[in-house]
Amino acid sequence: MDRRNFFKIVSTASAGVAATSCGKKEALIPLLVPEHQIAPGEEQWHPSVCTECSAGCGVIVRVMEGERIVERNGQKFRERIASIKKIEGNPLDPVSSGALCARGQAAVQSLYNPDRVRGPMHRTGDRGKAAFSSMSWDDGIAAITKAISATDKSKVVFLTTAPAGSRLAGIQRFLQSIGAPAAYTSSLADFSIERQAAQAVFGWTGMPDYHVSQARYVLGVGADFLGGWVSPVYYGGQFGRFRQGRLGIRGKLVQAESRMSLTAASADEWLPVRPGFEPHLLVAVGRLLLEEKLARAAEQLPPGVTESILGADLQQLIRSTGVDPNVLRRVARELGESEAPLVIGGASVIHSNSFQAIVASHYLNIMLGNVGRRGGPQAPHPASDVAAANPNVVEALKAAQVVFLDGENPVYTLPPSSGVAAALASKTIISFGSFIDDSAAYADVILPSHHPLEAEAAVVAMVGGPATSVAVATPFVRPLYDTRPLEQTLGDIARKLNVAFEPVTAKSFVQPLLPNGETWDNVALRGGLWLEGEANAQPLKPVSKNMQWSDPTFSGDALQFPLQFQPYLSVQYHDGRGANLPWMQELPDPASSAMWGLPVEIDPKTATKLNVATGDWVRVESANGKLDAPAYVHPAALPGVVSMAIGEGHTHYGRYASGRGANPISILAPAQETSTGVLAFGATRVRVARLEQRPSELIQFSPQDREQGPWGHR
Amino acid sequence: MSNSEHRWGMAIDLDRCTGCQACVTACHAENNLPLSDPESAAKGRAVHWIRVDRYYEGEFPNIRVKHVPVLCQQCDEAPCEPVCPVYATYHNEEGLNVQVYNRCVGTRYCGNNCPYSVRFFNWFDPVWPSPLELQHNPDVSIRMGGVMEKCTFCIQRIKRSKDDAAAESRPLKDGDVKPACVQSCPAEAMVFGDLNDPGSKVSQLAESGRATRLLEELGTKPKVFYLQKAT
Amino acid sequence: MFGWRRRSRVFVRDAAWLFMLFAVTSRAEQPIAFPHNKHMQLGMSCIDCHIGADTRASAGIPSVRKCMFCHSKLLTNRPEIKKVIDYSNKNLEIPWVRVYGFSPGAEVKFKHAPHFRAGIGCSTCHGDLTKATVAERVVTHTMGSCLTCHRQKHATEDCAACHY
Repeated sequence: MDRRNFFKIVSTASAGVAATSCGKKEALIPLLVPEHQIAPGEEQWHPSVCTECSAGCGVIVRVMEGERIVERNGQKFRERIASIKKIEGNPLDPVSSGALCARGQAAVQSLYNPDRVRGPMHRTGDRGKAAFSSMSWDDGIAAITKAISATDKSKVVFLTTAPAGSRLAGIQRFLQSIGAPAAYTSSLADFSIERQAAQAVFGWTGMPDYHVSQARYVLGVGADFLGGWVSPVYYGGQFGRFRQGRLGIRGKLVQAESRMSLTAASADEWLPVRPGFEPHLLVAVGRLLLEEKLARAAEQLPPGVTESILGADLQQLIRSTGVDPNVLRRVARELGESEAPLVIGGASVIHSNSFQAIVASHYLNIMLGNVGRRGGPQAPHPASDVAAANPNVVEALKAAQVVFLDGENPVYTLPPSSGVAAALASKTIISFGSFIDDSAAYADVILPSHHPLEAEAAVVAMVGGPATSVAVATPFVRPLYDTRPLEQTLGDIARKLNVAFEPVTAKSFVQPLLPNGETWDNVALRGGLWLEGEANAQPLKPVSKNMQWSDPTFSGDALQFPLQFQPYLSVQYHDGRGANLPWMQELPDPASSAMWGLPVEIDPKTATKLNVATGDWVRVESANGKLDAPAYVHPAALPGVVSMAIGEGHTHYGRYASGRGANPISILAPAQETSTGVLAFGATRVRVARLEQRPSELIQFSPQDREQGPWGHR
Repeated sequence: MSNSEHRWGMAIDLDRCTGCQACVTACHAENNLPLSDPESAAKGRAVHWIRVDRYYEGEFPNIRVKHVPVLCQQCDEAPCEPVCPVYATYHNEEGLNVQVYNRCVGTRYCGNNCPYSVRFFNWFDPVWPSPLELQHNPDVSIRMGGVMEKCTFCIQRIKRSKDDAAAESRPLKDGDVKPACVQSCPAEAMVFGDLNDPGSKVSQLAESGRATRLLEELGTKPKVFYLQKAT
Repeated sequence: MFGWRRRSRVFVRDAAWLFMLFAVTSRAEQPIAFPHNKHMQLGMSCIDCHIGADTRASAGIPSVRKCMFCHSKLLTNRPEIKKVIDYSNKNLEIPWVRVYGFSPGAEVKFKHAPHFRAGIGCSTCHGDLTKATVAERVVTHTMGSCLTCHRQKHATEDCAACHY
């Protein structure tokens, strides 16, 4: 609404205001909240916590006066409300250090999204068609209670995106009290392979922390830590100090990845490793370190591991990675000779053998003697372990009778070939989400929770271990709509079911972690509890005693489907949940500058073969499905490897995301990571064909294409 | 030039920049940038006061990517200024290249003359589906259709910091003023400050051996300094 | 051509702004006949009610709660005070009519605090309220009047001091 129309409403609402000669007037119409609470033009900053991903950045939120029009008894009122203007990192928080990523800053657009669910609703049309009409909270809770009591409690599946913290603890306690299995997650971004690898090698529960800023030489393998992996904010800060934060010391980053990710682009050297040959590359580097006597702590390795590394065929390993042998030998030497070497292993794209790669990266760090030391991998804080990571989510969903959705969108994040979307058609589905997304469109009842910016929360950071880092949000703006805190809804359900349930509040979650002399009030005021952790100077004894590597397997016949397909997590959309934020839609994609849609990234050689140019539409087809999207000929794409960011292709997700673009997950085979059972979303083969039609333009933001008007031809 | 107290400038360390685009969203949030839609964006009408240019150097596999955040360079010899028929864009005492929205008549000569392509024309009045407008920063104008707009170095933040300092009867310190992009940068690649103060961080970085300026050969004398990657 | 038509339309609208810059009601019927003079005779100062004029960007319009600090006890039988009490009882704010301000097209960011710090008295821009009753505009605010004063006081004449 523009200001002029706004004042039209204002003047109809305030009777008795004299019209003036020019017909303009500015009346202070009845306010529902007095001005003394929010002074116009004055800013207040409140601490909160970002929940756009699970990293757990502490943020501060700028609150100023805002107005909205409300109708009461047929009369329009101008309501002065505290409104959120901007989200910045909390400078006290060690994860964000005062900065914040693009998506975290855009969270305000999820709060004020025009497509938010404004109150409880029940389904009135076919499943998946998103036809709902409103209902009362009492009816909604009664419907849920009925559904739960009529079902076998072991067949209640609760899916949540909640990171480690008070919300998740409350959900787990609720599920325990009604006798249901622990919460699951269906997001592609829970990094459960990384967690399981840390557990297998070190016995750590949670995500290892990498002290990049104190390392001198970093070899990143498969972990896009400046892009979609774990926390670009935390590692971005570390990277800045790694490069230019120390007098006379500049860290060198070598990144081995099968895609030119943001991390690879920022690296001093990029090693384009063939998809799925990350374990081979790491083992080869390990072998070179051992051979050249550069593994300063080789004695720390379990003998079985040393044996298997030394037993490997080095030539064949190096050949399989596709990396220039001389380059790899030099990198291994530089790594081994560095004063503070660090290897970061991750699975930004999950292949059938990603677990092996991360395990191998841990053994490399052990032989370099940096585990638990400055500049090396650190043990996570015990509270940061996420119990919601459950790799068997597909089977659980198929067997379920009642499904709860708390921010999760399994219809989008799990491929149709897994059969989940089809299976959901026969379940009772309850959504606590703020939006009608692909999965909520299947829901029977939607009981919207408060938006995270309206609610209280304590979130344990995924990174920053072994220090304690818990960001805390206390509510500071009134909820915009008829929503309720999830804890309250769960409490109401438990009461109706006659089970004892004590909700977990941010305060009750933080209290046991408080050291002597610290109070909850202080923590709430600062927005978090941050305690120095003792870095464990003694290298940990590995739990696992052996190491394996195997060639990756890809689903689909190599002759029919000659190309490898890599969906990936992007900075703007994460696992797809950022797609309903208009700022993210119009944020130029870092790889292709695409706005309002995402292209398929194809290497120049393949593109020439297919006669495809940037902007042409292509059909990407696997044995499990096909999608049409514009092509972007990526000069740094690996030959034969087609990549696409996850994010577009929602059937339902508000006006900004619905029906836009294609979902790369939709054509994936239900392949699994061999050791963990997690969906291997990088293990599908495809073929690509040029389409004659261009259903729409690939929109790229580049200054050359900017419309300058009739004089703009330069 | 001017004998004003301040002369604002920026240094961007390309060795720290990761191309994550946090600055782009920070700018949208701070400055009430109009929302684009697919139709307007396809016509080249999307507005980003700061963008991250991406350059490829070399060929696969020895290919490198360079990310360069580009915003208004606040040139001392700004090509946009002399071509404005109504003096809607001019240089102020603190070296800022200012755009006065309600003086602009929308000839777009300035945008045409800008070698950095950082000036944007509002083809229509901006629209925000309710309640997205609750996010608007009241410190910044909502630009109407028909006028040019561009990066202001977050002049509203400069003023707020100055007012805060004045209210506390203290001089402005180096680091007191941070435009939204600088504030948001996780890698702390951007530094903002007073080029008149030789002790300021930005002055020191601008003097460092790595500092270059975009299209320096045009003689525009930008006040944004790019610190090239060290190798 | 499209471009020309578009430009001329924009120009016409821009020209119109010049005349509409400060087109806020100068004299309006206020919901309550508030006597500024009587309150000032009691020794109250402007910023007692218009809080923030000295320290903030905007001078506050007092909430009905502030009126009730005194008038819940004082002069409660007067007809105008009864109106105040009525608003308060209904939990509504008084719909005061703004008499000084800027039209949205002016795109002016005015801040009270710097002017207060510079020692500009309230009466310079708002007239002598010791003689005024209800709020009405007695001083004309135009860009000309702003600039005249800025020139006299050697304050900044930079466009961006106010327009951004």
